[in-house]
Amino acid sequence: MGAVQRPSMDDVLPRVGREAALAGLITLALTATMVGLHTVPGAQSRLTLEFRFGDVLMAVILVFFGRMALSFTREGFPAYGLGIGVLIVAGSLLYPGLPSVVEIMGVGAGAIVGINAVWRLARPIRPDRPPPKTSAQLMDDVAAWVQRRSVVIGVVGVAFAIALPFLFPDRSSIDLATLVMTYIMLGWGLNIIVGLAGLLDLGYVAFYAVGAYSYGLLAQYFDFSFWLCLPLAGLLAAFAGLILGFPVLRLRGDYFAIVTLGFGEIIRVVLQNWSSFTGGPDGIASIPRPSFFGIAEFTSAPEADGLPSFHTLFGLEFTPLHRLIFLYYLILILALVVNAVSLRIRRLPLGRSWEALREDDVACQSLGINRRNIKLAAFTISAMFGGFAGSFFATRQGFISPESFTFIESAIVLAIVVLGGMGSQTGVVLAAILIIGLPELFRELEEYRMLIFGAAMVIIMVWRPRGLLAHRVPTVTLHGGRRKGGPSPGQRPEQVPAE
Amino acid sequence: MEYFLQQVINGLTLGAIYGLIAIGYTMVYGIIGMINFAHGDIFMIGAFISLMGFLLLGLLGVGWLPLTLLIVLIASMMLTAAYGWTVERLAYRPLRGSFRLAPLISAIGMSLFLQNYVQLLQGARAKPLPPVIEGGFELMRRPDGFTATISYLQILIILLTVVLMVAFTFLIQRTSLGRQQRSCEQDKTMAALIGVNVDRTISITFVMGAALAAVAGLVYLMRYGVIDFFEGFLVGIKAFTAAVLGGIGSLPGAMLGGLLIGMIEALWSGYFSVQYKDVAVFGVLVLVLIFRPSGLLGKPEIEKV
Amino acid sequence: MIDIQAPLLTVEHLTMRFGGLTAIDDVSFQAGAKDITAVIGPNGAGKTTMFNCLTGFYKPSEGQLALSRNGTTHYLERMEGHVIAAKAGVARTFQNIRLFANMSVLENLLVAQHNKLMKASGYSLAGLFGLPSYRRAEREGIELAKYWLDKVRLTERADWEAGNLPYGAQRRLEIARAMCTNPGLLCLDEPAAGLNPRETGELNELILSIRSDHEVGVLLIEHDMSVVMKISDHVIVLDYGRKISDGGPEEVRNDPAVIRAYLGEEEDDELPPEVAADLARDAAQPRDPGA
Repeated sequence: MGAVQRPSMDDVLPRVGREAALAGLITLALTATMVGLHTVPGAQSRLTLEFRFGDVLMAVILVFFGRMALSFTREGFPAYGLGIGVLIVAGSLLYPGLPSVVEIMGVGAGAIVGINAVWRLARPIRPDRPPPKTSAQLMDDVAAWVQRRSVVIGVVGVAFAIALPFLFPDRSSIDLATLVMTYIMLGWGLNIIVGLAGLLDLGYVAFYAVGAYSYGLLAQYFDFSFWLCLPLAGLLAAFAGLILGFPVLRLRGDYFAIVTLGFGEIIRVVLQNWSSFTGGPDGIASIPRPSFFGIAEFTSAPEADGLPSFHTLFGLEFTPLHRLIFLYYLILILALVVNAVSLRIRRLPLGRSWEALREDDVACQSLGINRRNIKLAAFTISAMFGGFAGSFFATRQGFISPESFTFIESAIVLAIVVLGGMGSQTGVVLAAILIIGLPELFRELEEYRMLIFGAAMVIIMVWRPRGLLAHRVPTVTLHGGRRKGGPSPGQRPEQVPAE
Repeated sequence: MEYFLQQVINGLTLGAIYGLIAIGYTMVYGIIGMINFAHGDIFMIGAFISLMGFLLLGLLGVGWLPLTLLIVLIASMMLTAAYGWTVERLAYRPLRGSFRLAPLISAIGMSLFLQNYVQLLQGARAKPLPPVIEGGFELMRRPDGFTATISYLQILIILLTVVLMVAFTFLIQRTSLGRQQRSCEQDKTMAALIGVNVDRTISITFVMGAALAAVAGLVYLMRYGVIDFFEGFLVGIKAFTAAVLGGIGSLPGAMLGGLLIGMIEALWSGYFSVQYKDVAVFGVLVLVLIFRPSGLLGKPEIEKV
Repeated sequence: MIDIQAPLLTVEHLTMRFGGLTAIDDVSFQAGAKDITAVIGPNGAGKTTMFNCLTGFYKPSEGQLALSRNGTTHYLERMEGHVIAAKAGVARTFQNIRLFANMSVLENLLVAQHNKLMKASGYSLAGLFGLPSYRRAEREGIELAKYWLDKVRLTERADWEAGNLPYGAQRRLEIARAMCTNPGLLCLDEPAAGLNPRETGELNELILSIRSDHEVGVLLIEHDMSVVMKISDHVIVLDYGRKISDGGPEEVRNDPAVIRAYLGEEEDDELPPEVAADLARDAAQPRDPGA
């Protein structure tokens, strides 16, 4: 590739053809059954098959030409790649009677290979010049830019979040914003343990569940108010984190992940089956809503339970939106507290030791750091925030059941952290909006949501393993904020030369 | 006694299935040190392909049972192996040398993708299959009428597992392919230097694991008569537990662990409570990882400094 | 054999077995306070294993490791790894450098002061609210880091990511990081590996100045004889897990057992290790009774 001379078409063609044919063949093997055969209920409640071989054919054609375009581009013929990409897009749009899913996939695939080709056309590899920046390095520049302006972005973002209920004063917008904000809070909470301490917790939902059930059960059995339960739920979740964390924290990375997953599932199964205490699969219903800091209730009647109602207290017209807006601000404040605490801790010895642990835990021990204690601290603090979020979830829904606390929920929160960028607070916000917000806005996408997310997790790991907006700034500098970081990460030479 | 015998037979059958899946986990862990979280879903896909195989042969009018079984077995192994190969190629190979949690996260993404891929294409409903092999031997009868039986299907499952295990052990210990695999396990750089194609060897490992998972999927489908897109998650975790219990990286360990987990699950359901059988298995997982992470037959790991 | 007046570290009958393999076999020696003690020996002699025993990464199968610090004696074999570093004051570097690669140079040095700063931050509570006591402690921590940055000539690059430093600078940073834990015993595992002659010369100066300016004894594993012979006060030679020689640099250099262990390596390859070890022990025997 480094040669000045362009490779000749005769050399390239057989290779490209072989790759495309292989890709097409594999696609055939993969789709022939799963796509080509559709199991449908037939007579006598037995299954029978429908055939969809047209779809198989389209998939094979798409992969064949897509691979061909990518191979041409890689081999130094981006013009061919671009041409094939355009053809794929045109074909998908113009061919009559394609299902919309296939059309979207065709256009998407064509666009991707086309952009890939254009990229190479715009920045050809020349032996006499340093290699052009890769897309991952460009993304790193973006992440660095975002990180440098995080204060501005933060202020604007918070201002927008505060103004939001007045900009969109309708039920569905506020509900959606509340939902997204809940996931932002969970993402920030999980980011402490995954992003900072580098421990992959696959059972984060367990602490969410402990928080939610703490409030649900305390309210049901002892009639405790939300404002009393909120700190209690956090404490109980932290306590759960401490107990679960103690035995598992000396495990290596991936074993740790699996054990946390095991704990998450155990808690869910227990909630499901301990019917006499937790209500079993039916869960807990009619969980009381929060009052306005114990001063007023959100009721239409002017007085309830000895408290005045919110609208009479402030002399407003009654509207059910008041409570929703209040809940929204409540989760906004909770989330911001989590954010403030994690940003602050990162600059403290504790946070620094977390990051050091993520980098090299053996070196940590050699410096006298008690690995178990600081891991336990990360686990407990993270669990506490999960507990807060859980009790909020319980009071907002008014109903909880074990179904809300499956592994999928943990996976969603993990995906938010991973996609946004481990350790990046802005990244979590962006990812939560993308993952939670978009599918709610585009209901047709709902079915495909988990599929896209799984694919996105794989793609991000391949492309930018630390996440989209991951970019680390030092917690303390000697020479001020001036750019003195040496070569930027990603460009670090494989073997560092001696001085 | 009759009841106990019945639970043991059920446990053995279930354990054979877990063992077949566990081999896939253990081989992949041995060679590239990652937990292939999507392996349970590969098992699920194997079961689906087997289901379609039975239905298709039914439509085509192939009635002779041994032929049906053979065709479904081979087709399912091959097509599932294609999934195993593709998953490795797309989601894991580009991550060699990436940071340590990346392969696991990628595997979780792949697992979500495969589940929803099957759900979208085949629907969320559980898919039933009428019994393919019926009947069995009566072993013991209690005065109150309870009988312990072993069905022909259970015999088939156990036989098939034993045959595959023997073939597999031979493959790993006696063939050049097995030697290449073991050399990659020890030291990939060195293996590459002496001419082993490391990428290919890893691919083959995934292909073999997926083929065994397909067998597990086939017999699971025949035994329980139903499969859905989410089935792979739980079965996968149990098989992983089996691999860890036996000692991850060890093939006989995977089989032993599978049998033990099958027994634990069957006896727990038989004597304590069916609802908490999953908790029992998760409990075993947690306890083994905490107290003996190297498992029963694994080698203890020394922290490398 | 050197007569050590005030032993900092006393190792007695240290033995480390891995399954059937005995990596260290009944090794005893002393290292003096404010001495530079070199541990040398052919590859696989058990030098790094000994460091790992000293710093708590391995639990010794047998033997006693006594370290005296400020009048108290710590028995390292009974302590957990992080306690050894925190309480007994044993700091180390690693053969294949282990820096916090994505953190800045300055942060690496602050992490090394974790225990001190953690206490000052009231286990994060005082720090969370930014109390002045913590801010003062952090300033002091940065001052200490600055002192060491100056000493290893990295002040200019304090804000670089540690992983971006050239190799030689990474080695120096790792030493500075170990010194930031305020140790009584500094264990250096092949600090000159991969350095060019000029850098090696600078390293010698650095180690000598650490020893002269700070209350610290240095234990050094090194293959580079130009380092060992120039700076060490005391040399211990290991071969196949056993001590074959122990004395001043000159004395060890002329020891026939050492010469055989180094030069006879080709010969040893043909002999089974047990025989070779026996030979080495026989050779060492006449010198050893005094040990």
